[in-house]
Amino acid sequence: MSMIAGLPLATATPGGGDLVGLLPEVIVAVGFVALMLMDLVVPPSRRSWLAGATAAVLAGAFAMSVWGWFDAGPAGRTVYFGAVAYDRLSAFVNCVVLVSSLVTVMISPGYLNRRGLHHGEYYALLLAATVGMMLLDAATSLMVIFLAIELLSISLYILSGFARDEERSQEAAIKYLLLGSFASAFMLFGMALVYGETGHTQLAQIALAMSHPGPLDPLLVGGVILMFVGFAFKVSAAPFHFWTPDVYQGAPVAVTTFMSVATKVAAFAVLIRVFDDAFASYYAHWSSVVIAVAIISMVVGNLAALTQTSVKRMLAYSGIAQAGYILIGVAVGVAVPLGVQGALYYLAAYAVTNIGAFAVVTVMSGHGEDLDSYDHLRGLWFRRPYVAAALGFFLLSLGGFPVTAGFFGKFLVFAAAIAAHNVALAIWGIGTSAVSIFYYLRVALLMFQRREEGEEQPYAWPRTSLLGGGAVAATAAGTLILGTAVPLLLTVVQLAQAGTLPGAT
Amino acid sequence: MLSDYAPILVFLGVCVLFGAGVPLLSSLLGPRRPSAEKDLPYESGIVPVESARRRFSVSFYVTAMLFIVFDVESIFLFPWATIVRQLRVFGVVEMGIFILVLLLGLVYIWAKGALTWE
Amino acid sequence: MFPYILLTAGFLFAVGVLGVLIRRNPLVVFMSIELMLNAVNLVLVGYSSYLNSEEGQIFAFMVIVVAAAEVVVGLGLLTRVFRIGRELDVDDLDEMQQ
Repeated sequence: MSMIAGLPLATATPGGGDLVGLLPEVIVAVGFVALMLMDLVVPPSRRSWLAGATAAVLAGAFAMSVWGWFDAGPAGRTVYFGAVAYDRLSAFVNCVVLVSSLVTVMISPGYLNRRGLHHGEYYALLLAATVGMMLLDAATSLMVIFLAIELLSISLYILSGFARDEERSQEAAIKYLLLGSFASAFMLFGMALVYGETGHTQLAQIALAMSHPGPLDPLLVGGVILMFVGFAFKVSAAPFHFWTPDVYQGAPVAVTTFMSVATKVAAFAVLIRVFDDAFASYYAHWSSVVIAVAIISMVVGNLAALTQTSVKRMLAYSGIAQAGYILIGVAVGVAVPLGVQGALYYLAAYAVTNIGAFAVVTVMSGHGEDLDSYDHLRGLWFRRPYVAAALGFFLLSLGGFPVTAGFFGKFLVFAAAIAAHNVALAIWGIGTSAVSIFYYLRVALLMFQRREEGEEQPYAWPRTSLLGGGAVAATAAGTLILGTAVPLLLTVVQLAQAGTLPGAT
Repeated sequence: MLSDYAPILVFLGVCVLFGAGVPLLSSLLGPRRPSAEKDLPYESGIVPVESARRRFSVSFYVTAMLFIVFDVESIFLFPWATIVRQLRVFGVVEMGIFILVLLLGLVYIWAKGALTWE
Repeated sequence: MFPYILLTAGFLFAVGVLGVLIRRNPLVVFMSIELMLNAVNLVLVGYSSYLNSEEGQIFAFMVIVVAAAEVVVGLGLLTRVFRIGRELDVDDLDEMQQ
């Protein structure tokens, strides 16, 4: 029997309309290859040119994503035979990812120079990871999801080990790589089962196949759960979080800044697309697992963060807890549209706030070592008042105080949980947020503590460069805007949520 | 149904007979003149210099790693080759871009000196 | 035939998982992860022939390529750790947990 003769002839080829739908990703991908080659010709003393070129590429892709928001229209469409979505969800998340990437590029040159790590590969790898994230939030096919996750993960594995002569950094990279590919294998097994039981790799067709009534397929349920395990690892939700504190602490902090935010945003975008849309008819089978993981993440993340003495580890555990809050929105998103909207709002809020907090740690990291322990922050207010004020503001936002971005993110997901008649879930969320205020305030107050007379300063804070200060100021402004201009942002996430799975009826 | 597998069984039997028979025949018929040189590991005719269990240079790893990446990428040429006639110009251009990206990667590692033996 | 392919793949996957959890040498852990990925490939190719749909085979190609890329990065990192002068044992990767 000839396999080839039985296949339908592939006469259709993608056209210009397909390319338009993928334009932001293509810009960044071409930029990645171009920067790799530029690294060969740009002299080492001019490495900041590379940063400029990277920023230009990211800004171009950002402009195209904004244009794509309007061009794609409310319904959106899929391009390349249903493999990639061109819709408002991907445009929105692309923008968040690109802004995170841009802020990282702003704070990187100064930091890398102080640490003696200013190699040209950094920018190329940053762009490669960004392409992976952008493809991930647009992917509507299991194959593209897998390729995008691996593209961003492999780039981040290398970036975490970027401090080549530092044991911690290498350890973080290997740990991330081993656990990351372990989780990828589970996700892949899940994808293979979903493909086999539905007969399709494209989300729209999978959704259609799953909506047919029939006897429960245990292999399909197993596949869905295994895929969730893989995604839960990428968003660092407990109990799949063991890599997070070590990797966040060991990686150079500029890399941590980027990966703690952008990875989570992109992975949550695909989680929303896959679970709240494609797997919506299996809601009854996966929602309890997602709710359990959300509760475990909130409890484990917040309790573990209480006892930390390292800023990076505290922010890592706080990130695990934040993943739990966003998962609330995902868990109730099928029944209540507000859940998905709340999750998207929370993602944007978390992105600007967390990147701001890590940006402060980055610009305050000195020669040869990262600012890491709580003691390094003591008295920051008296020497670097603006930076200290910004960090305090970010910590308040992470804790969910009013007039900050974090407050409305939490408010929306808790409201969604109550609207879905899951009051217990909201109570878990509110209770654990109350706990979180302790450790956020502890760090914030530390900055106002004076050192005693004659006590030696253990750590020299570097001067803030124009770019680094600008990045911190911009994220602080973003946190304030997301906390006050709520109606505008709410409209945006409502529009973004409208077409999470183009092509499906 | 089961008889479909009969050729495989016959094939297995022939394999075992041949594999066992030839060494047996040569040991029965061939002359026997053992010497120290004949017990050495066979290294394509070259006299081995030291134990095979020594450490390898890390450079082997680098070369092997680079080889694997470029080698495995060629996997995509095979499905492409089956339908290249139907894809016409588009297929050629698409694969050209793919190869170009790979080539640029090769240029990069070459310029970085990863291909020179230290 | 088909259920046996799934069973074999499930068995291979379980062996891989056990290998990752039990073995301490990162190289062997890598090999176990490869085994898991190849079990996935078996599932994909098995379903592909069972359903007579070629998507699974293309998916398997993707998995092979990505697995190769992952191994290359992993080996690169391991040689790096080796040059810094560490024993290769995953239990020793606890620099940050003191």
